[in-house]
Amino acid sequence: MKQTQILLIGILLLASFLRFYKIDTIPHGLYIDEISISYNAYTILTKGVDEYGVAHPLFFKAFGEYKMPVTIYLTSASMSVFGKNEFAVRFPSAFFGTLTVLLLYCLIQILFKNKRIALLSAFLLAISPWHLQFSRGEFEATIALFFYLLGIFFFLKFRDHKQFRLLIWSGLSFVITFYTYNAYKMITPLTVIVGVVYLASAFAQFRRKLWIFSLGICVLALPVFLFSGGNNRFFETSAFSEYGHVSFLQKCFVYPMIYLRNYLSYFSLPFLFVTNDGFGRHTVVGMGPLFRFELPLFLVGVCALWRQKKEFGVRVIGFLLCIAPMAASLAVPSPHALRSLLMVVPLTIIVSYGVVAFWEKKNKISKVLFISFTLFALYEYGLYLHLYYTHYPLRTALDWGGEYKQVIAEAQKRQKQYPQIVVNSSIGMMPLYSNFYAPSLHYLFVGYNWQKPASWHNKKVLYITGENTKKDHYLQRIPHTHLQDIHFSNLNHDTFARFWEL
Amino acid sequence: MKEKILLFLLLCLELFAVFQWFHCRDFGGQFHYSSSEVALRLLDSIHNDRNVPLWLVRVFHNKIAESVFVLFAEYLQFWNVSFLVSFISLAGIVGLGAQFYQFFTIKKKHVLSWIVFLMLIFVPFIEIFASGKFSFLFRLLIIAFPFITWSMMGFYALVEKQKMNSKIVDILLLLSLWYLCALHPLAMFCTLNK
Repeated sequence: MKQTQILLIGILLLASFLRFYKIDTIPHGLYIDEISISYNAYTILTKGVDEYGVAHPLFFKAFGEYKMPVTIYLTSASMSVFGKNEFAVRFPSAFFGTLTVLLLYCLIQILFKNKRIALLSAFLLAISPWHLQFSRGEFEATIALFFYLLGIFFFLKFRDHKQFRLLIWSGLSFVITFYTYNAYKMITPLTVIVGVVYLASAFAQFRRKLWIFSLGICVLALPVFLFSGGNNRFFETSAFSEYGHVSFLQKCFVYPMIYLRNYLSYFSLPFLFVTNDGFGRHTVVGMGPLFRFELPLFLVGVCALWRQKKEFGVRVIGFLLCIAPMAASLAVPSPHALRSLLMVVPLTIIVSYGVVAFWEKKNKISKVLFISFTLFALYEYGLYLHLYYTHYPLRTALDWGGEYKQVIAEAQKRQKQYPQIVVNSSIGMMPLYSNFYAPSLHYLFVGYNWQKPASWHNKKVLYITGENTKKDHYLQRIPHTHLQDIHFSNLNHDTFARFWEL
Repeated sequence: MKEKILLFLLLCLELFAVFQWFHCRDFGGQFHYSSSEVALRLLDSIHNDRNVPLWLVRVFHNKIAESVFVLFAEYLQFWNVSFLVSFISLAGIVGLGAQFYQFFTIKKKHVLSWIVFLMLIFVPFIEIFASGKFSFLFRLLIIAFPFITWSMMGFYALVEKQKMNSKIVDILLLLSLWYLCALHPLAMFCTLNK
């Protein structure tokens, strides 16, 4: 076996280890979108309908934002193999995340025909905090990224080999991105337009077939634009919504600049190397989406690539970097690490280019600097792993829903003792979580003003609330016994839920 | 002649962007080093280390590493695109980039380039470490000087030497003015006078 192949297998093993190790427990619990995806996936698997009873829908209503189908059906397949658990829910993201590493290697081989850069890029993506973060949770963006790169891969293969079937594969991959993540409704068409314009000559020999193919792709893609019903979500997160009341002229004046401001924010160095976007689900406190040690290598890479700016591969990287935050810039908050996940690909390639450019410098200072960077990189990677596996579950207890699972498990244990279980709406997502974890758990989900009905006078009631007794005026007025508390896993052990017997 | 007018207009634009900062009391956000902040961050990190061997805690959460990371974060604020847009305008950033490219690709560098480059690299440390010792206006001018000079050197190289299409610079100028007028980019980084 060749040395390159051994290294590539090693990188893939590392990528899969980093993506799958303790994936069911870290991040801490499934967050609300994961629960929604998994519940729909489960109902599809068992009954062939979504949570609203629609048979095999193309778009899932979910919370009213209409989720794309690919992730849900993939999760359904994963559940059929691994069962209804956290591992099965997160498996598709981790699996496609690992495959993306291999795909990046192949893509760079086509673009630069340089094994060293291809291996380095694959390695850097394998260990990238940005890509790891979104591969270890059920995020549609990770799966969409894979299909987007696959589309580009086949497109570039078509450019080299002029085989029509490659174009068909490329088209299908691009269509799948539409059905996976909303941002690609903008990114993919732009990519296709630029690709077709740039490689117009390559299509000349397939003119007749091309018309039929284009028509087929349009038919496949059309439902996304006509029926996906994601408009509510778009307006909710739109960067322009706060200026909805101003006149048309004012809009014309302000909107382009808002877009530009958001777009530029994605290239802000503090976002990329220090703070990330600040969301607990996206950010390991103390780390940016890229490592600090990558900054100088990134700058060297930019210079090295700029010198070869007329090369096709370099132009593709530049294009990817420019296009990656385009859809994300339409929304707030900006910058947003999830919506701009595609940026990780060109940035990783640029850093790899920087590493190679650095290494190829023959002088002693460069070598010493290179060794220093390597040592610092090892230290920073160790720090990242430490922060991710030790600090992250504690710091982001509020962002992930691990405590809901505990509440449901405890309620299930006590179900025999208590004929009536009442859950206060201060534990707001309880119905969604219980649908997934324990559909058989029967309880009454009540508002803040709930009072024990007179007919329940002799019944023992298990009352679960997020409020403490001082805030819950009703509890103060009736006899109650404290049973147990469920705490957040954070440093202060804040109380998530309290169990009372009424 | 047209090139000189363009350069003059660009300089005016950058000075105008800096002039807007005169209303501020200080840079807002994470620009200033504080040892107490480092200590707090350390305490916070250490408290999250449950069931972790002490040597590991010491390796990852010590004053040296934390200070370096805090300094890195503060230094990077000066290279934040959003900050630079409000500091020296959108056009200013293009000039900065152009001059960096010039500087790193040309083998024989002018002494003046070296001086401005070193100023540019080290001047943010004045703000990071000595924020309380000098007035904001003084610090602002000290920091703005190398940024504007470097940017103008970049434009000079683009317009005079490389004969960059002046229409592009025209558009850039308009775009920068448009940005400054349409939004108030200063707000994110400026602590206003009461």
